[in-house]
Amino acid sequence: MSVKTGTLQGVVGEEQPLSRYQLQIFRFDAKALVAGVILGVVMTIINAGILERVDTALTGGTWFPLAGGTHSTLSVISGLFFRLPAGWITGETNALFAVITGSTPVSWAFLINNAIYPVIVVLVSRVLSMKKWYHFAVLLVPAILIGYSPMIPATYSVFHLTWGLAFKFQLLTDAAAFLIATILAYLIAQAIARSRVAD
Amino acid sequence: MPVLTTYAYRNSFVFRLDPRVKVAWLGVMLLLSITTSRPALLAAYLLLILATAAVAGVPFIHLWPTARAMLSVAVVIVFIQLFLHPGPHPLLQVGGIRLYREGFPIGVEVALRIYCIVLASLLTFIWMDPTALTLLLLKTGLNYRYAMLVSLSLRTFPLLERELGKIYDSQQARGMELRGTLRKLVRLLPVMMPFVLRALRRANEIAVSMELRGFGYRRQRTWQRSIALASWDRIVLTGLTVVIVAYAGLRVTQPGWFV
Repeated sequence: MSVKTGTLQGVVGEEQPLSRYQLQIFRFDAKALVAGVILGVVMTIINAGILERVDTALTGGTWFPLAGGTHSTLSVISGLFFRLPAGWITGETNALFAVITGSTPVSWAFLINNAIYPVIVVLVSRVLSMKKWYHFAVLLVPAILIGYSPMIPATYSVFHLTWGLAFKFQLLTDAAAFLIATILAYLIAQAIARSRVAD
Repeated sequence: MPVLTTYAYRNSFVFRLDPRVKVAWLGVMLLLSITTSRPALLAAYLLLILATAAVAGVPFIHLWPTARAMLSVAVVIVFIQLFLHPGPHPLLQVGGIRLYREGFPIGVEVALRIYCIVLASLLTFIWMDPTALTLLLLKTGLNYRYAMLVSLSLRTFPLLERELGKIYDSQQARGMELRGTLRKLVRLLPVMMPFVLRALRRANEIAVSMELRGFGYRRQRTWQRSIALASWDRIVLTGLTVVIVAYAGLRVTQPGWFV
């Protein structure tokens, strides 16, 4: 695979980035495309098999404290190591399976969420080395707030909620996703970088 | 319990239809379900979907895991609507929470609509051959590098599900208690970490083998199979078009029937 790589010393203060591909926005090699699909399937198996079911049973699908966390974790991993369009592929694969498996009533809105979310991950991770835990926190704030915002009209329309309630439910999802994903994404990204399985 | 019921060929009329017809059927069912609010009609659509499954030869037991999982969702949805739609007829008061009868029809409507959407989508993928789906995407003009990814995801789904099962078994063999949903939630990281790493190693292997077979070498590639509309496909497509035109006509002239 002849992918041009580079370092980010000038951008991130003399610190080597976590991923070799962090300077790039796009990565079109076969490995990136396949990894995008595989991570989408992994996300679906973890979320649709366990977490979305628990979330939906507890909250009726109005907010997703657990599934939001793993969704953010794997979206960040995909965007960070495999860039675009792998980030989109991961998200849209998950959205497709969420619709088929009926893991949540608002799964069709994931198609929109997952188109926006990886773009923010890829752009923000270009200016951070992603070697510290707080880099993940900084990355996740805009990604979650902007990326998950299409869920507000979706929950409003599907559940016949008030706008205020739909907004509050979304903030709860955002907070839970932020807490879970900051920890999980940091630990898993470090493990992937150490194992060099994404190089 | 497997998350997804995957494609398995059955010798039936529906399975032999062109993938475009199957997608058109899904489109019609989604349109009807989304634009109808009357619970009785939504229940009729649901019966129609189940009847189509029976005609296709898909046993109800294949749909049951999803239908059962959706039952708890439906109960919560109805409960939320009872709480969110106050009216003159209170049903029950528990502490500070008061439930109203006015929310019941709305809850039933939302629950039935979700059942229709989910079961129609699930059925479409049960009777859609992954290769046919790839060929369908190619017909839309999508590059084969991306068209192949959908079928790749459908094919790797059961493999990765088995892999997760093996990881659960391995961790349990090391003394980690993972029986029950709560324990699985608490011990998510020791399962998720090896699962992601093994999945990425598998992605590596798949990508290398695809490149060795010349994936992406040329802009175009050839296929052993092709899809073409047969006479039965045209008849079913015409039938679906008639249904949509009739529905649109009734929706305009008799809107009260659907809300």
